[in-house]
Amino acid sequence: MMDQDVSIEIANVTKEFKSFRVRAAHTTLKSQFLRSVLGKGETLPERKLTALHEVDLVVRNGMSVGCIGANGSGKSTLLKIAAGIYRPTTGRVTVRGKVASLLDLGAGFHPEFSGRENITLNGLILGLSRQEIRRRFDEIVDFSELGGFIDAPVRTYSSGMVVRLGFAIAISVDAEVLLIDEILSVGDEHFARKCEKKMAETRQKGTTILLVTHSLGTLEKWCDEAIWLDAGRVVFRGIPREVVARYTNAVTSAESRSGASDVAIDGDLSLRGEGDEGTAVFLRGGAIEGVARVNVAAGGERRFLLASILSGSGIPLFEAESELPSKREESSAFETRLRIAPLDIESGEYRFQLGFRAGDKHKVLVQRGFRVIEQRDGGVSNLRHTWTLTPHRP
Amino acid sequence: MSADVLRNIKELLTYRALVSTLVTRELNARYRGSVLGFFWTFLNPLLLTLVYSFVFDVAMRSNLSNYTYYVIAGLLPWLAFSGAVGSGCVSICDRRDLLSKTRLPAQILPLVTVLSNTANYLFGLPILFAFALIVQAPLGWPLLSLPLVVAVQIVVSHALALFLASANVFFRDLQHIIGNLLTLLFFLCPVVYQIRAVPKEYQFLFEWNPFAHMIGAYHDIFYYDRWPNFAALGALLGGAAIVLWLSNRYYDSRHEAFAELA
Repeated sequence: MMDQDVSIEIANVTKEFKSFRVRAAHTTLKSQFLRSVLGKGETLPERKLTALHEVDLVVRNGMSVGCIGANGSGKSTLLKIAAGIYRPTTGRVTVRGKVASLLDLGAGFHPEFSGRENITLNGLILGLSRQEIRRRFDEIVDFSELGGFIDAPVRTYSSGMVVRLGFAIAISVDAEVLLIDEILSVGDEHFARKCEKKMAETRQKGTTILLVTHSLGTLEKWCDEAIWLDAGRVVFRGIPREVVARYTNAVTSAESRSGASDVAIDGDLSLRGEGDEGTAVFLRGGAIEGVARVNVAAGGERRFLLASILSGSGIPLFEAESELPSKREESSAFETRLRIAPLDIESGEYRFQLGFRAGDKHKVLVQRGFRVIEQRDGGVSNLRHTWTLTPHRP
Repeated sequence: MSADVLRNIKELLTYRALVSTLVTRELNARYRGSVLGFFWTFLNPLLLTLVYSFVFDVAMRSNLSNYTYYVIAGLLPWLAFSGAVGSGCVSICDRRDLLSKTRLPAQILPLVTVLSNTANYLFGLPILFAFALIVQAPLGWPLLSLPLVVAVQIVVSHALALFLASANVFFRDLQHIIGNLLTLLFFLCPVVYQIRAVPKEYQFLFEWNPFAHMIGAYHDIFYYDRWPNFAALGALLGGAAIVLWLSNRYYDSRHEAFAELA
């Protein structure tokens, strides 16, 4: 028996998939018959793909745990195991409480049916009863902000509308355990913020959350604990900041292993905002400062430090370079401090990257994810303004 | 009945709201967006009946009285059966989107196909009664056995659909094999001809064909105005119960892999 205060317990779980080649996946009756009954025919070597290796994970009540890792590292498999969609090959999974898995918003939506009809259908699939759906109906419609579109067929919806409806239904389940696959950035800025608010409320209510994400900002913002999966194994677990730092370092060092290594970061790149230290969330229009210690090996070549801001998908939005004063005979150490203010970019996920260039050799040294949020009172545009209030004397 | 079957049936019962919603959805979806909409429920079998009437009654001169009425009495349940088994076979593979993203029990999918085809049969009954009026067919007490016959057909269809849908996940060829077998079976059932018209030495084909008995029961009720052969129906139900039990065992042994393979 597991403790009363544990919501998800994954104990020593290994998940193997048969590795199919396309032809073998659609085995014909004849070939199967010949192989299994008569023992004739070519037996395909059965190759196994191990998606999870002896993974242990305990999520206590009300905690939220995030999971990062490269594509194919087993994150989604872990989530599907917790959701009961996949069964572990070996090991044990126990989940306590009402579970809602937000693996794919709008899974099972029928395009020909109206949003209204799809709410009922999707709600039933998620395990709500008819009465529960009826009770939550208005709330779901309100939250999705579909208004009059609720009676239009879902095929006429924009993809944003589909996701909004899907999220509204999924979050209305009021589950005790939420399993989430990469959905915290839903729809436009306005709706994404609404979702975040809802998620924050959900967390406050003590919902246990297991989420999988590629957004390091999300992880740092939402999770009490993080695990880093690589090739089906838990490489590291701890507080999100630490896991993210190790993860990004590993990624950047893997990216640059082929390059030269005569410039290195000593320690970590830390991002600072207005005064506070080590945050990953910045206000649009505020300041961001990247601080790191750099060791430069001796050498005669001209070397440049490169700083860039990358979009969440890795597109460089801003690059700056500065020559490193290097000495021919001995190595030297610097503290580099790049301050960008005002930080005038759209709200969203970004990465701060430091690298260096020598001749035409480039090397990425370190990356850190951060998130830009907007602070304004309303409207769709952030106009630069000054506002004065002067006492009026008649 | 073993505990597994009972557990599966219990699961179906807990999901009955979803099953009924999916059935309604399937019935609505079938003709949604078409101009004639629900009328296709009547038009489809009607047009098919006209085709068979032309081929077998006009061109080949079957000397069965009220041939069109005879055909439609057997064709409607046949369409429900072949629809249930044919689409039931692909029902799990077709909804891999649901199975890989939600915890939906896969066994409800073939059941939904079976029930929606049965409902479609019931919606088609008005045409049958309209024809009965036109040809002044005598309809009497045997009509009372219709619910029983339909119930037997549901069990038979579900037993087959559950097995085929589960097996099709692993052998995709099944859906093509079944499509062809159903065409063959259609002509081995007395839908477009009477068993009486078949030479004596081939009549055993119908004696041993359970589906011929199933369709025959509808002819008994609607065409001959006599009680169906209850012994045959009982045997059919017994056989279906055994197949249902085997299907459930097969489903139980395989369904955990559906999310990965379907």
